[in-house]
Amino acid sequence: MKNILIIDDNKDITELYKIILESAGHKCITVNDGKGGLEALQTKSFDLTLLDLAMPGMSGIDVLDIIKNEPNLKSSRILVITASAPQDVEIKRIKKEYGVLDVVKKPINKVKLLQIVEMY
Amino acid sequence: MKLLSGRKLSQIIACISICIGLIVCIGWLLDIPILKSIIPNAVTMKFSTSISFIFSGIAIYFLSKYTEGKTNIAKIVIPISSLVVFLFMTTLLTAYIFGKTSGIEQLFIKESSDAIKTSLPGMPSFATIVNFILIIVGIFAFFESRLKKLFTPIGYAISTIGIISIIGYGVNQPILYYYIDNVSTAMAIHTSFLFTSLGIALILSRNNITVQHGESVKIYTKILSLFLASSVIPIIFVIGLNFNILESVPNNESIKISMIIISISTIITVIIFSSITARSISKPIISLKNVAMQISKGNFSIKANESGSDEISELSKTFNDMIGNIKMKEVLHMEIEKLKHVNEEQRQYELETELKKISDLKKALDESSIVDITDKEGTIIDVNKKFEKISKYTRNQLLGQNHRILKSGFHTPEFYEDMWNTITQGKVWQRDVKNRARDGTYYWVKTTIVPFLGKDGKPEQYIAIRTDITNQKLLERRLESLLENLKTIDMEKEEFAAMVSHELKTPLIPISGYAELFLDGSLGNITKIQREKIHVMYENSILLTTLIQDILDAQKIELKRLNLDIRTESIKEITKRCIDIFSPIAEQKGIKIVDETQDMMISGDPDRILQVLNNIISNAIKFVPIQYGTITINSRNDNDAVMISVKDNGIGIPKSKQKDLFKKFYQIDKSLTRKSGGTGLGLAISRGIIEAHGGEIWVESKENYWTTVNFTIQKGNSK
Repeated sequence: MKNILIIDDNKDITELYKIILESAGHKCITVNDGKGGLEALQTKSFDLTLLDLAMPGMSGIDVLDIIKNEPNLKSSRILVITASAPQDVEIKRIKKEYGVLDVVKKPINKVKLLQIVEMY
Repeated sequence: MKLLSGRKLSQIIACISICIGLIVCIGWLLDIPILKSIIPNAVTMKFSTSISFIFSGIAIYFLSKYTEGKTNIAKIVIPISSLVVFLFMTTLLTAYIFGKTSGIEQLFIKESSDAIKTSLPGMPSFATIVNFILIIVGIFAFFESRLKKLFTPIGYAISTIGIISIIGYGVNQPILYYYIDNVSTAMAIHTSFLFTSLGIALILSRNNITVQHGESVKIYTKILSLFLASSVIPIIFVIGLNFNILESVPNNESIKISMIIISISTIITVIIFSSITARSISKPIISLKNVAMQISKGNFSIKANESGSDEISELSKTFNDMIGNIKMKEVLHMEIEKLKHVNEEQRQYELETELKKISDLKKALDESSIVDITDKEGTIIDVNKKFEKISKYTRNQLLGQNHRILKSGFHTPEFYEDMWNTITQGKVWQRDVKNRARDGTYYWVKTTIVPFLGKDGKPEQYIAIRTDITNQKLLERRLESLLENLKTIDMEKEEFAAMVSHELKTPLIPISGYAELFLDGSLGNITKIQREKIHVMYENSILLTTLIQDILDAQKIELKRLNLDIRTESIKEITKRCIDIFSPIAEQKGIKIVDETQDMMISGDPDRILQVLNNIISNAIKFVPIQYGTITINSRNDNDAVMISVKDNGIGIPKSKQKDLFKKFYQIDKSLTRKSGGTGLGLAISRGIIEAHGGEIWVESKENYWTTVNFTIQKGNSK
């Protein structure tokens, strides 16, 4: 059982992931913008955070930038899930610069999502 | 004319002298009294006198000829005639000195009766002898430069002696015509006239003397006269001694004759000896002199006679050596001159060739390029036709103008600063320059400015060679803007792709996600019909997602923006991942997937190679028979690459269609698509990926039996 935070601007997706993950016995909190995500991270600690990159307003990268410079957030375990098609080089860069667990491309089906969450 | 007539006159007088001498001589020999005295009952001219007149006449005649330049005969005749006269006179002078007759005066004739009494029969007057000796001395003075001044006075003296005698006859004073009783006989009247004339003739013969080759006789004459002079006194003594002997034996005719012969032979011997000696001494000297004269005219081939062993032959040898040296120097000098000349010619030729080359080059330059020359301030001092044409200025408008008038204002001041900095340092400057023509239009020229350096190494002039690149520049501009447009289009395409990727994929996530949840019962029980339909929804949403991903990949490949994350990995690792993906569906269809690959290291992007394998296997699964299908993955070494083969026992591909297999959206049987799914992009993308890795991909197939897809990937360094 893990405490998981899901940050994605698409409510349908956060809801889907929540159902899948809770069916597997995990505890989930969903937020639909970067700002909300940061607030949640400040107030509560999570075993894993699923972060979308392309979001209106504060993007995933912005969120990562803030986390990088906040000492109390630095230890957060973050998994980036993106629907855009970033270059392989770009993925590498994100991994290296922000110390995220992995960058996973959408779509992710039920099996894959549960696999990833189990893995980390 | 005057000079010629003077010389002619002297010749005439000489001839008269000879004629009178001959007449008297004949008179004596034939004993005709009238011929002896010319004037009846007058004083006779003595036989010896007549002989002397003949020879003196000859001598003076040739002296005059010699002056005219006819020296050949004169050279021989003059000394001989002079010697004959000298011989006679010396003998007679001896007779006077000793007061005895030698008999020479009566050698051929006997003077028996005289109109006027004389001390000695047949003796000429003392004055006559003196006059003849004066004539001889005068002739020597003619050749002797040191006695030159005496020549004319001697002539006058001879005439004067003759005139005094004539006057003596006129006033009837015997002393004046040199009659002294018992001492000297009188000088005949015609003798007096002849002396007067001969004195003048002697002077006239000398007129305007141009002795050129006279020197050749001079030395001989000098030596001869020296010998004769030195022998006069001994001769006189010898003859005198003879006279005294004759005196002591008065009536012995035989002794008298023998004494005369001894006297004459003594004189002749002296004369001959003197002549030969003088000749032997003077000859080599004269020949040496002649050689020297020839050499002075430039004839170096001649040589002096070196025979003999005296000082003169030594001199000749030394002279020849000297000539040899001079000759060698001359030859060397000539050779040097010749060489100089050749050198000069060669230089001239080279210079001409060089000049021609330069003018040819200039012509070629003028034909091909826009050329102008400026001074160091940039003032135009020369332009060619092409320059006039492009700038639309005439030559006269340009000359004297600063090049600045062509400035277009397009270039920055730094541009021109750079130009001046370069060329003032003597370096070549080359750039494309935009200039403005007279009518305000602009033109582009590729410009090369070459500085012409002066002797101090600083630029004195600049030559600018330009080519018109206006059209080229225009094209360049157009091309640049086209490229710019293309880039923009590419970027837009990419942005579009990224947008599409995100915006199209996102809505599909909840669709496929919820469909999946319905199907696995997470959202409660559903009827069989519902399950079937939701499955269709799910399948199609997955297909759509794949299609979107494939389109993006295909575009990336087309734009050559496929970024590869090259790593070294075992092919076995990749095939394992692939089989993991397909084993569920394969099991479901009863298809066997056999992995026969070896643990070979490859160098490539593992995700992309996996994508290729996925494409190939998903194709294979579509075409192998259900329950009996077998797919075998194999690997082997292929030089420095690894060849991976995927073989299936599917329906195969007709040979004619194998080529088109890798084209985009190509499907062998359209009807199959719907049945088997797929976007038609898989193999095209696979080919793009393999080619981006530098590998090859191809298909081998036997219709209805099998198909093999092969591809190669660079070998990796084994771990």
